[in-house]
Amino acid sequence: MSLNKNTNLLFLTFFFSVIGLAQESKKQEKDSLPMQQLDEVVLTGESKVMSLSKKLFSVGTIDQQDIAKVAGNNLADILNYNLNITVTPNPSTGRSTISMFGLDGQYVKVLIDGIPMASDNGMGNNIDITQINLEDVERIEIVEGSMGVLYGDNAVAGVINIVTKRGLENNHKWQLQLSVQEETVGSEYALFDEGRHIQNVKLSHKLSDKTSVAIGGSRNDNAGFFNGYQGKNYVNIQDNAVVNDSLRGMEWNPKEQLTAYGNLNTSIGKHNIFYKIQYYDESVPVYNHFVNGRLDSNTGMPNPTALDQNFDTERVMNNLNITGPLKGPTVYNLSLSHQTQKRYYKQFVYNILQHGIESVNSDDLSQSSEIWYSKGFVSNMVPDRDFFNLQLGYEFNHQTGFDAIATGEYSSDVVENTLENYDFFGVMDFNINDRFSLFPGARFTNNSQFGNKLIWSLSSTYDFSNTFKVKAVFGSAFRAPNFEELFFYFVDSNHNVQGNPNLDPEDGLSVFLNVEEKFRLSDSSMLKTVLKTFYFDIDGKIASIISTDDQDRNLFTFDNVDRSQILGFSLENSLMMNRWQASLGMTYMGESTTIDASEGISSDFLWSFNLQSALSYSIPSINTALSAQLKYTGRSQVVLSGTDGSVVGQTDDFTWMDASARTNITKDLSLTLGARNIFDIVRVNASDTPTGAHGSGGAPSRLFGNRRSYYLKLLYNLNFN
Amino acid sequence: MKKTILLKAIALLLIISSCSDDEGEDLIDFTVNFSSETVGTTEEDTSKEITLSFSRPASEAGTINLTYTGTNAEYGTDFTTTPDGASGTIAISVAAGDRNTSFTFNKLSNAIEGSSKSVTFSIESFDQSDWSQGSTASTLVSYTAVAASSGVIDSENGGSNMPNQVYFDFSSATQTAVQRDTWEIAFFNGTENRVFLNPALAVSAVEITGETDLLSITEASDLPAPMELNGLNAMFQPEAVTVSTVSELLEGLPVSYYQYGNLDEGISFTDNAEGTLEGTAFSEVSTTAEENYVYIVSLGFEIPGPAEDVGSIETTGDPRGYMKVRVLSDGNSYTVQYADLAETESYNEVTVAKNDAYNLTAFSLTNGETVSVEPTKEQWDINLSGVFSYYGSSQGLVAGLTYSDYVLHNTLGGTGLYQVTIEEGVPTYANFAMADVDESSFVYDNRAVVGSGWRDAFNGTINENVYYILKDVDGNYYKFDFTAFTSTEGERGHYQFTYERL
Repeated sequence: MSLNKNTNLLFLTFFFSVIGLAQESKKQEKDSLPMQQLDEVVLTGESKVMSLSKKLFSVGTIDQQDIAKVAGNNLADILNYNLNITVTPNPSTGRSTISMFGLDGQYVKVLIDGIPMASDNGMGNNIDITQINLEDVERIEIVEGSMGVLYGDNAVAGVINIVTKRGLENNHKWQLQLSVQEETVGSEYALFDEGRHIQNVKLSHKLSDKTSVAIGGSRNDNAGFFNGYQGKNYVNIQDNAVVNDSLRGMEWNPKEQLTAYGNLNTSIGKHNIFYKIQYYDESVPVYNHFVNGRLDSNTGMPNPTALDQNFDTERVMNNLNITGPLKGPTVYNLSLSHQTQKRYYKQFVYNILQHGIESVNSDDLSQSSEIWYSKGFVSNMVPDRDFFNLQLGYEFNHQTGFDAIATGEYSSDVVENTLENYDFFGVMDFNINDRFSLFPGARFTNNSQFGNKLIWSLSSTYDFSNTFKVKAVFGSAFRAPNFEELFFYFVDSNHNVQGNPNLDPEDGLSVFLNVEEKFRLSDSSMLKTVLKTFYFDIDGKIASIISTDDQDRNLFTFDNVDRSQILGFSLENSLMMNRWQASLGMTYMGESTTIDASEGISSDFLWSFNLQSALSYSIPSINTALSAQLKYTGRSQVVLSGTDGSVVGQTDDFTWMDASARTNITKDLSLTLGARNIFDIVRVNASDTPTGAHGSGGAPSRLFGNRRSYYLKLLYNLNFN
Repeated sequence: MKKTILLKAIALLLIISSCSDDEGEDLIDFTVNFSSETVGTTEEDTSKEITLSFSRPASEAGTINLTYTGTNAEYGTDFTTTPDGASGTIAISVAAGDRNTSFTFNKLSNAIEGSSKSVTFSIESFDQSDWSQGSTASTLVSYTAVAASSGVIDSENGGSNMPNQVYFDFSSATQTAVQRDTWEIAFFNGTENRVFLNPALAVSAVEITGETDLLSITEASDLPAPMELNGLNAMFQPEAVTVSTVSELLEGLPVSYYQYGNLDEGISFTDNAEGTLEGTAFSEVSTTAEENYVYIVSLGFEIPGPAEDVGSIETTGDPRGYMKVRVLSDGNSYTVQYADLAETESYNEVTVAKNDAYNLTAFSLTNGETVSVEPTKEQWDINLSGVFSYYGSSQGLVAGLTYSDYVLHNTLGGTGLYQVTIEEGVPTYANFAMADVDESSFVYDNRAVVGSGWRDAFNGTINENVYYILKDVDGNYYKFDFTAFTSTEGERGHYQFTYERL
């Protein structure tokens, strides 16, 4: 397959150049510093994009060290540890999406250096988080709450910003990082075709005091999870006939990902320019569980075949960010981005006994989108006033593309759609006194699909002391209807399912109240406690409804009929004490859903409880750090509309725990050993999984993990001049 | 130095771990097989199509060269071939994308009693170096009939829009495919005077009770008496309707979920699924002309184009409109009077004599002539109808239902059939023998025993725990078992079954 060949070629090229470089440099590398980047987080060239949101909202940070602890290769490996985020993998498509405060991935916006990321058929939301590679990531910022004013549509539950590492961490001219990671998938592991195999390489170079460049690549070859399934070459033949026992294929299909990236960070005068290019390629084969048992009419012998599929996604991202002073302390921040995403769909007949492709049904580009994006803002516009300040900005987004799958398999007109956004926003600072500030903000959106929309926010902070602070945030945001909800089309003699192009966006409102206090317990220990209360109100929530069309036929479509309210309380504590770091957080959250507001079926608040804890301990004498993370995801319930009114469906509770040890073998070489999913979670009973008119039997469940897995990561880091 | 070794070691590790096993991604080998090892011909046959099939569609064009050897048969006097083989080899060209190819064996003489006479064709060579022979590299064409006692049949229903209904006769292994939109009604050739509808085209009919004047009924007419019927509302709940005009009646006449009917009163606008004489939508035709009323016939739905997506079906196209029909009989023939529903001036009249060789004589209202559909009544056992519709009950819903992949058997001709469900103590298909036949299980009064229950359309699989036992009119017993309902490419409407005489 072409992807594989490309990958190997790419890596070989890398290695020859890398080995050459290493040999050149060996004479002059006496003065390497200790492995600084693993011991301490050094923020270099910090992005200014998020500085305002830190003032206005509560921001959680996952830094490089946290990522290294769990040997995270992509975002799905680490987001699970966030108290209010649940990662839900879809084993058949290989996608993992998140839910935040019980709201699914469509309500969460994912940004890379402040720029929304192209997703399957949108911009920024409903991202497959396994596609976000963490190799050149400085830190991940998680902002909670409806942030429509600063980030536009779909930032309803919150925003996840991935901040790229800029420059080099120390005074060396070159830095080379190589790592390999071998991981089991449950108990499945083989050098090539079972388990997970990750290779990374990154080379950074400081051209001058003001300019640095980096290039790198990462390959994540996940051979999938069999879990009792027998793989693609399995068929059960009895008495000269194929018996479909549904054991062919895999529980979790394989996935091969390749990321290549480069970036340039430079300063011209006081202006900082950061350019990033990233190429991403992913290949996911989907093996059919069912086998076509046609007999060879010549021989009368079975010639079993299966209709398999392959999804290949390609994405190219070019991001440019320029910041600098405009006049005195007034600064500007300008981002430009061009992103393309293409998904190729191949369907073919796989001959099981002969281990090869018999014929190819289709091999097409099934989805394509191209995005032009720009955002700019000017902050600190009134620097000479203590009492009042202002930030003004714009956001522009132009997206063209088509999605043959989201418009439905039966759609005969796969048309190219264009979506355009012009947004203007402003946030004011009113510093009433030293302790009390108010930040009102507003954004005006003009969208080519649903017209004009105004959203707003109001934040206030009150600092009782340097260590005791209260923050209150009201924010609004909206979720734009997705491609499928707008344009889906499946009409034949028995079906009449159509999207609704007249849908309105869902209005989201959130209220957050944060009380934070820091306690200094001794010279070397500190406790931080945060108490949060939050409330979300999503009105005009899009749900599927049954109506009738102009020919009086039943029409299954979508409308803005539901409403969801979420109320929650959380308490997060973190303690640092000598060599110990510990955290304990818990959330108690309830959701009330009104199904079809006109019929007024509304549920009580359905409550769930989550708990998250992490513990780490370092042993400097042997250069080793130990860590463990635990997350309890409580039973979650949702209201579903059934045939006889509404019913409550639920996903049972489960506990996830990881543990790892990381040690520096030499000053350049470190080793991480760990275990994921220590409690061996695979499927969790769930009565809220969707079942259609053609639902199949079996106890409904959701797949969350692929059994207890072990990993080993070897990282080689070389600094030289 | 140490550092370099370490670096190289890690680089090597990276390369090794980035390898993976790529087998299985390439096309499988292209092999060519004769479709069977022996081919029989009858005295009437003057030519025979000999098929060569491939392991996969050809990815490039090429030529297959065959040689032949005759036993008491000479090229030019006893046989010829198309393409020509006088030189001793026959060159058969293959186009890219072909799944099979064939040549014609032309029979110039007949077998002489007491001596064997045959021609053996063998694959000699290919002009494509990567093509190869399969396991059946030669075939023997006999000048006499070869009795087929078992076989694998690939049905000719024609794909995802199921354009054809297919009749199959086990004893002669003969498949007869008929496009399903060639006829709407069929006249029964037995003693009773009955009219059947074409269920494969979703034809339906309603009697305008009391009305004998064909030309007086149009869409604008009132009914002689209101009809109390049941329908479904938009929420799929049963709803009583009173129909007093023709235009109101037409809303519920075509087969759909919203079709009207009243099973308690015996009102159904389709024949019953079982296909019994008493269950036809038309009342028995009386030899007294005044007792035969006018019917409005919904002509069903066009055969649409094939489904766009693999694995889905497209069987119901645009409505074919309505006609008004009145059928009379003298006991030995039927006289059908028919016209467009809007027609008020004149009507057509055709007389069709009963023909005892056939169960039914099919008639096209659109072409005004009889159509050859069914083989003679002894020469078919099952009808792979593909599409099949009737008004009846399914999972509590009484409605006009349209099925796909439907299979009927020849109850009017006297074929018996029953389904075997594999469970504890029941033999598997492979193990079922003559001694296992349960004579009392054969069903002779319900053509829909097989129906569509042999496949699971949702999962795309065959229902593997059932197979069927059939007894034909001549007393031959067969077992048959479906092995596929899609092509290897996943296209619907390509059935395959295997059968064996017991």
